[in-house]
Amino acid sequence: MSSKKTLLQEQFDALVNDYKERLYWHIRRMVISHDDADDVLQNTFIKVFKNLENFKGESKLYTWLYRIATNESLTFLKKKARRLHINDEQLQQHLTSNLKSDPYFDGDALQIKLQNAINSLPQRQKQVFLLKYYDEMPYSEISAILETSEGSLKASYHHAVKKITKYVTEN
Amino acid sequence: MKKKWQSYSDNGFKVPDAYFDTFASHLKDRQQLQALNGSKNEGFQIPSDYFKTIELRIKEHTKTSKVITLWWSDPRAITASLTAIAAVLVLLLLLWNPTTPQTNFESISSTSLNDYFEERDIQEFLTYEELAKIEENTSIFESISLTDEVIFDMIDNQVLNDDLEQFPVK
Repeated sequence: MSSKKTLLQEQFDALVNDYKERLYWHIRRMVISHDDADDVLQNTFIKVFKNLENFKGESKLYTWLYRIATNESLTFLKKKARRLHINDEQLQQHLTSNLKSDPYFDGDALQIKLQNAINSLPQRQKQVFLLKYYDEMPYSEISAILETSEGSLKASYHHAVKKITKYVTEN
Repeated sequence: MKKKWQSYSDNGFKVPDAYFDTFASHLKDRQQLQALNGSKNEGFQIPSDYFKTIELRIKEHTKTSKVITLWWSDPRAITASLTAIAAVLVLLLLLWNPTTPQTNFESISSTSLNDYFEERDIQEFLTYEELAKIEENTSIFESISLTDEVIFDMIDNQVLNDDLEQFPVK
């Protein structure tokens, strides 16, 4: 193995070590099931490895990683919906309806209700809420990941919080 | 301090034991597998211009090929077959009648045979040699018992009397 390749592999190994957990939870929130999250996380890192050489550092490394992970998750969900012959909305319901029987979920009724509320949001609002609330990302970075203006993101987040609160209190 | 993204596991979501410790190793296995799958030289070869000509060859094949209907999927063939079977059965029933008596020479009485030969002059149809041969080779005539009654009947017969008149007893 050439020294350039060795260096690249070392960088990649360090990157996997630093970001695997954080990216896993970002993906898991979107795809819900552990097996699916594991699959998407591996695909994400493989894509990262293939493009690592071309990464020019124009954006922050973790913003770049998040963007790849988000796109991989969305692609995975689209394929899953197509495979199950259902639309996006039905897929979101399908994801949370299996939570009770998921061996890697032991949340109570309130936690299932919160998941139902998050998954009832339109896809864009859901992504903004997850990145802002759980990853505590500033709007500028969310804007770089989702390629949307900060103003639009703020509005989306505001709507998302209102809808979730309403869902949890009414149901 | 625990970050908020890590708190997701407190919301009921779990991961298998040692998942993050073994993740890098699993990822390496998958990378190697993908590298093998992604290899451009898999060893398979195709004839030159295969993909350029395949469409044309399929079109030619679909033009010249005739669709052969399997007889059991053709309702007309099924009807014809059933009709033929029924016709054969009817014919067999007509030809085979177990109540019809089987006729043989043994069952014919000698009287009936005499009547038959009297009514028809058999000599008109057969030569003497043929008659002699039949007499020799068949047992039909052996079964005719020449009783007294038969002999007297023959003597009374006008034909015999006429013959005797031609040869008077001296």
